[in-house]
Amino acid sequence: MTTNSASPNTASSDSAATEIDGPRVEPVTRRIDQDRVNRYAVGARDHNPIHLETPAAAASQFGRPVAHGMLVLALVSEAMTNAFGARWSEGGHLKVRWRAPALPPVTVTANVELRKVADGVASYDVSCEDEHGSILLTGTARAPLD
Amino acid sequence: MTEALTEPKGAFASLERGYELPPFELQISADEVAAYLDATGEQNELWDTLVPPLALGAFALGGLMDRFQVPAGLVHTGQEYEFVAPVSIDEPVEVRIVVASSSERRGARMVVFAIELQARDTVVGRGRTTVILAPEDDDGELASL
Repeated sequence: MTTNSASPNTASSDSAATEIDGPRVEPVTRRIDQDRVNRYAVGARDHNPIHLETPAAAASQFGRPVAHGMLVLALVSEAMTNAFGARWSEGGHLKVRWRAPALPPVTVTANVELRKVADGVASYDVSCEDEHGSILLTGTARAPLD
Repeated sequence: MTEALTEPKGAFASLERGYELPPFELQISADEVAAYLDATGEQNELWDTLVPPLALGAFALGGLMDRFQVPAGLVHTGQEYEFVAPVSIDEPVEVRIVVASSSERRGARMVVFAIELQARDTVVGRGRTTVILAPEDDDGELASL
């Protein structure tokens, strides 16, 4: 079981930030195939037909099912949990925009880069990309250090 | 998991700023957490007793989508979450959702839902969900709901 993989990292220079080390958040990579999407539809109770092998998905602009955006975002939350443990549930903040659809089968990597540490909070830039380097999601995350 | 839905589904086009959806309750079981984790692939002993915060967000979003007619072409473009306090498995959580904004621009309708989660008579999480219904002739580069 993963609990806490945080490792020291130096925050980038920022006049408003205190120059102290902040937790490094390891990337999370996962294969998202249609079977996983189907299981997510059941597990998260999101049965929107555009995510499933349905006529609606075939008729969409993508011509095939699209993975749930929240399934892609789950990789970011997992990475933050790995680094911060329970603190992520007790003060974490996440703000993202989806930039492109994840079309299964696709291998998605969530990257979390430390931006600054200030006032006891570590701030990160987050993104998810596919195996071709296409950006699927961008945003920010924050978590308390204590 | 979610209390029975008795209200008729609302129409997306009629959502106005300030409209508050009827509150509903979530109570997420260990089996539901296991199914969620099986789908996402996450493994962490924290979730033996607690609900992953993003799972809570996903279930609240599912409850939201259950409560109005989701039009074809609706895309989930943005999401914000603030996790205030952990929620235990089987713990009742009340979900309150209000339309924070509703606007139209170049034929596309954008709605922002403000979501508040309460347990133990205190706020345990907040969220803002942005969805856009693009006009039919939009070539669209947005990801899906």
